[in-house]
Amino acid sequence: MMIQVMGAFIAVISIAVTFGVPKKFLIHAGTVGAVGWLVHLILSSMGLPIVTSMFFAALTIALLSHSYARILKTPVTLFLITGILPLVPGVGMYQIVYYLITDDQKLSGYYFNQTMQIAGMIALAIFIIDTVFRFFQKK
Amino acid sequence: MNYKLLVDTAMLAGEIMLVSGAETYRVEDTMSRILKTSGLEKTETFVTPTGIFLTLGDTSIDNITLIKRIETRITDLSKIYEVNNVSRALCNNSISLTEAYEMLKNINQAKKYNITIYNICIVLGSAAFTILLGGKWIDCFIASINGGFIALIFMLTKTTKIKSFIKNMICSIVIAFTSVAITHFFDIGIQRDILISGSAMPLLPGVAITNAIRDILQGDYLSGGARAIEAFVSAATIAAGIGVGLFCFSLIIGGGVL
Repeated sequence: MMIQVMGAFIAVISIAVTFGVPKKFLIHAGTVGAVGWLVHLILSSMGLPIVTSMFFAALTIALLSHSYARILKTPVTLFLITGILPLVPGVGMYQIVYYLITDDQKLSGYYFNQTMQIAGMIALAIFIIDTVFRFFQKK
Repeated sequence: MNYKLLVDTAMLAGEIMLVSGAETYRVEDTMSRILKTSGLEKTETFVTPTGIFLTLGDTSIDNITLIKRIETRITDLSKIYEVNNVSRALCNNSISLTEAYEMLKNINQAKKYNITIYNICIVLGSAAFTILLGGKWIDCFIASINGGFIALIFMLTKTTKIKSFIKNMICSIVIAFTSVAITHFFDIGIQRDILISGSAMPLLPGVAITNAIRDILQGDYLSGGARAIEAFVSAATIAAGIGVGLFCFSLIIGGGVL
């Protein structure tokens, strides 16, 4: 599990570089991504369905990104875009296509449904944290 | 106060942010803040993913209106950060308008990471995403080869006018084809699904997805909707590319490898 979290850390930092995140924030961005992925791994190893664990992971990532943005006085985009990337359902996308070509409509429909749910959950998590932080925002 | 310079500064700030991949509402917010430093009554900004409109006016002066068409879009989060700093400083009155305008011009020309580091990070990204999804070291190694292909294709198509989702599709065809070929010819325990989806992760439209969500939350359905379509089309082309790659290989080999 720790290896996977390290993978998340390195992956997010590499993507952050290609997105042009300034050098001094790379470690922060990596931490956000790694912690989010850790939450997902812990929750799914406890037997929660993937949609639920993704929701809580996204919630953690959004919370951390907003906190860093407030502390470091940066736009929240810097951490949110890069941190959320590991959660984007790449495997789900592959499964949809794979079962489409192998002509298994049932499984491809199942994965399509699941991928859409995960995307919706990520959106919901970002909504919630954005709204919570809006309460503290000065006019 | 030089109102002409003020609207130019606001427009330049907005343009840099929008081109670099900021959320639409943030662009509007930053531009309004800059315009409000004039103390005039009417400060309107209207931003869509493809254009910026702004008006500055009062009963004492003629209205100034500018329109800017945005054609290219890249992702460079450092520029959003820099513009944010400049606009903060300007609104605190710690720098003058002329200084702010010069600083914004310099941001537009600055280039942060060099191309070698960029390419290394694409390769590293593909490899690390495979690990993240639970791949073994062998998957990671082959994913880094795939990452190399992505970097190569991006470099070759850089000067051409090919749209980015076509590039992504070419990349995903190559990824799927090489991955399934290596899995077929070498029986070394590769997890094909993790390998392919991990390698393709750096191509996924992370910016479009996140911005779509946040623009829609702001009630900016025009931009949010446009970004959501962008994310969907981008993801769909990558998926289609993977499908084409897998299918091509199974045609060559005579079917039955999938």
